[in-house]
Amino acid sequence: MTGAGSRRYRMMTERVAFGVIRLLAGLVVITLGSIVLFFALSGCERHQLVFPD
Amino acid sequence: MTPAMSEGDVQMSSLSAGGNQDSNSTTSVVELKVQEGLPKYFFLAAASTSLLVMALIMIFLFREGLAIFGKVNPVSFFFGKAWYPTYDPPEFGILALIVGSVSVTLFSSLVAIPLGVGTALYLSVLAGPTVREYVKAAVELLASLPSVVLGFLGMVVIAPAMQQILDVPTGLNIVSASIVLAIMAIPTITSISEDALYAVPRDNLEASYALGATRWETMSRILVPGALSGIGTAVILGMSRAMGETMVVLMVAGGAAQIPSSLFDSVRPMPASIAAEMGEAPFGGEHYHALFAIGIVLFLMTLIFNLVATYISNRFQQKGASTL
Amino acid sequence: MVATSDIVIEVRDLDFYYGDMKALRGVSLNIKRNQVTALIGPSGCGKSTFLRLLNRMNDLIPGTRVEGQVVFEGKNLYDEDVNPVDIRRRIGMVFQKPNPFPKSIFNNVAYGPRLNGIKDKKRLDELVVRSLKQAAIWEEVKNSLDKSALSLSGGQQQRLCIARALAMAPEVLLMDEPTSALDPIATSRIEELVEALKKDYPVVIVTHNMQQAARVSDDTAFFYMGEMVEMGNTERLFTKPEKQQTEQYITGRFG
Repeated sequence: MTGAGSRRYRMMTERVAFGVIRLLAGLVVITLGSIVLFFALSGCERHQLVFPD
Repeated sequence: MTPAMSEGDVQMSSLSAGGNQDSNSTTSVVELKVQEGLPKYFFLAAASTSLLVMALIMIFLFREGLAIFGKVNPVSFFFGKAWYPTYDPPEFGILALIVGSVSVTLFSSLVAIPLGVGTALYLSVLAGPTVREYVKAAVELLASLPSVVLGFLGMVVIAPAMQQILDVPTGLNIVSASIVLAIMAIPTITSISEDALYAVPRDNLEASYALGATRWETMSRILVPGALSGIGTAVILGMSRAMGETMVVLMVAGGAAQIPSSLFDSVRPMPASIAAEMGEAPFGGEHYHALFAIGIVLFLMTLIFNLVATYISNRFQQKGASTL
Repeated sequence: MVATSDIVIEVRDLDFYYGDMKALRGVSLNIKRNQVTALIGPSGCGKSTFLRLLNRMNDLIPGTRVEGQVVFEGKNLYDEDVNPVDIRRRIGMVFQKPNPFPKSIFNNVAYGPRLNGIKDKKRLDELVVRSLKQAAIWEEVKNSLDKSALSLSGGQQQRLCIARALAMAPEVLLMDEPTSALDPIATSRIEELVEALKKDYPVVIVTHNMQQAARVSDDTAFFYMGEMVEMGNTERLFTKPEKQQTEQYITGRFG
């Protein structure tokens, strides 16, 4: 049967792998967010809708 | 353009086949037959028109392109390192352009595959229903951004930033072009991969859980192997998109027709070359024919990508059907 | 009376919710060793839901909630410190539709042992052969272990799935309408197999087929509208039901 060691190893693998997947998906979402933000901000600037400091 | 058209043809022919079966089953009702004949001929006409147009485009492309080989020897065309089409005498060696295309395609895949497949896995395994909806919408939004807008982003934001931060001679290089191309390829890879993951029978996942597998074990041993050919198709279609993309490489790759020695060198991928030079090339001249010949090379490369994708996804479908 | 040591799983006052809907109310019953326990009742009565609660498969459905206790080997399965993955290793399950993996016959059976970290080829071979023999499918597949499991017939696939569950050496075997997708001949082979298996494994079988329950089981529990109406010795329950609803169901007045 499964020893405690291999069990801990399996849990760790799972955590690391899912962490990587979350990171990748997060990067994609952040990329998208910053693109939209970039265009929104430069559009505002063009129309002199500068936000107060 | 090519794959979309051929896909349409398949749908057309299957539609008219369906029409045939229906008319067989109602042979006695003459009026019905006439009514059914009309749409059938309409679809046939539509299908043959699109086939005809495609054939004409191909003939035109090959006629204009192959003419260059009357003046330039194919070996020096494909393997020549110098692309000086406007010099006297001109030199038409497209190796640098091919290397340019291949380098941005490969490097952008290196970025896009993990991000695209990772996002698909996140959506199908980890995300809750609400998050899933939002992330999917976001990825689709990414797909709807026009390439010129992304090219603009690359020119104005990524390139200057890279130049400053990494202290390289120009920000318009392989890396920045690849990053922008990767952003374009990610939605393709993610949505096709996610469909493939979704197509893996739920029964198999349940069986795996019932045997005491964790989510990770089920994902790595059942889900991903089951979707592997679909993911392969997704990756290749994404690469094919990066290979054929014009606007981004025209704006961000730097445009130097040289064989790069580092990832931060400028390159001139094939589509960029055609788009930039076609306006200046005198009609019917050598330069004009050379650009068409580049078009043939590009066409063949994309065609191979699409054929590989079709082959992989066909194998996938057959495997799926045998589950019955 | 049955001695406590004969009880493998003791269910006490089990309530189960899908979101706001209460799918099971106050179910209490005992699963005994060396016996086949059948769960019968009309569709939607909660018998399959109940079965899936016994190895925590319902954890996989979001928005569900459990109250009450399922005591297995002196421990409540729904205690905080119990890992559902461990439970599913010890309580095997066979599904309504045969669901072999799109892998070879050998790899299907070896899937569970490999999860347990068994890599030794000889040990795997032994386990696979033993499980296939126990599931009475060895003679049919011994020359084609490398073939895809999907090339087998439906009945063979279901016996392969039983072999796959047995390879984990489970302490209890749960079967969710295992013959509902099979023809009569394949069905009778599975029923014979269930008879043979009960020596080694307590079997809990959900069935919509009362004849099947009468043929294979020792104890039968009748479920209706999310409640366990009556449970007892199968022969007694089918000949002298105590509750009116049970009688109406087994005489075919509703269902």
